[in-house]
Amino acid sequence: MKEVKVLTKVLKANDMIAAEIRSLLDLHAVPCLNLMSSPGAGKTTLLEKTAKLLSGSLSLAAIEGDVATSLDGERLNAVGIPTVQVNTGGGCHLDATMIKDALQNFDLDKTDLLFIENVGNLICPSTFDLGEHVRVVLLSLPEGEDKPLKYPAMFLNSSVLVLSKVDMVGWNVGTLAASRANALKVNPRLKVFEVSSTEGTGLKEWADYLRALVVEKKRGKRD
Amino acid sequence: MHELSVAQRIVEIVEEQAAKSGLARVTAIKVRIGKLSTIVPEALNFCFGFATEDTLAAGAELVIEEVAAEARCNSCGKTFPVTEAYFLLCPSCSSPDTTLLKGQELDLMSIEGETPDGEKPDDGRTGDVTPKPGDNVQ
Repeated sequence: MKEVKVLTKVLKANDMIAAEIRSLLDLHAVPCLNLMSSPGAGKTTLLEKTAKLLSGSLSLAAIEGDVATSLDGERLNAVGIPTVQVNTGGGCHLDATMIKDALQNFDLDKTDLLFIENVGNLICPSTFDLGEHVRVVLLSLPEGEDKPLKYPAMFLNSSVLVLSKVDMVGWNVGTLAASRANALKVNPRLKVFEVSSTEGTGLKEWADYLRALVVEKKRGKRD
Repeated sequence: MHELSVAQRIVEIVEEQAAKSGLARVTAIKVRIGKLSTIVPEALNFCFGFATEDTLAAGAELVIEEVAAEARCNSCGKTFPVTEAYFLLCPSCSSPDTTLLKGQELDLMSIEGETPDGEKPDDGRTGDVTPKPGDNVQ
């Protein structure tokens, strides 16, 4: 019997590809956001609204992850975001290899901002680095204020929280204050946006934040 | 259920390492899993059986060491266990400026197996291979 020391991260291969992707995006000064949430929290709708606000001034691109169908990819293409649809065929998350492959479809020199819309799932995606610069978690009000406490890793591993569907306050669903408080309890450093994509609440702040990311990334490249 | 893809990754690394170390069969695999890693040990164990089928790790035991989450407060310097009661907020001084030290591990520590002829290994890598504090996971 022989015991061999290995001492390696199980996801080292994924992390290395993610690091490559990040370097590539840095080289082209393209900030990348990885949007994660439960299914139905409003990721695609937020991106549709974001396109309306930003497409006049910035070139957006998206990688859309779903278990099946190209429905979301079609929605984003329809609002003018060139989108590559990735189907995981049952897989519960995107991994760095999928992103690396998808990136070959974009001209990064003509892209200002890249979104990755992860598979709707509040657990697995948080484990896989995709080479993004910012991890955004969406929590929609109807999901309930307890979700950050029940799925803490997702909130711990994100730096931005979008509280979505805030227009649904009053529908006897989770309260906004408690949702925010629970998320901040798990991760006090979360930058929080309160958004209603249908009514437009908070979208300006969100768009301003995205513009600032682009400016900062381009400045970083010049320096 | 990303445990299946994690189990498959483990098997890939195990196969590489076994080839390098001249193991004909792998009988045990030690992994370290942080409480905040989103890996459910039971689910990983379940998937591990499928992932090892028809590999040299078929039938191997998956030994899981769970690591509790711990953070350090950058304000008062105290380390504290990360629990559902306060997560990353320092329980001593309530500062949110904290650093997670442990709890996100998903590391393959060591493998154990048999050489083709049952000989003792000769590469000097045997003996006590229990990970020590100085051991860096790459």
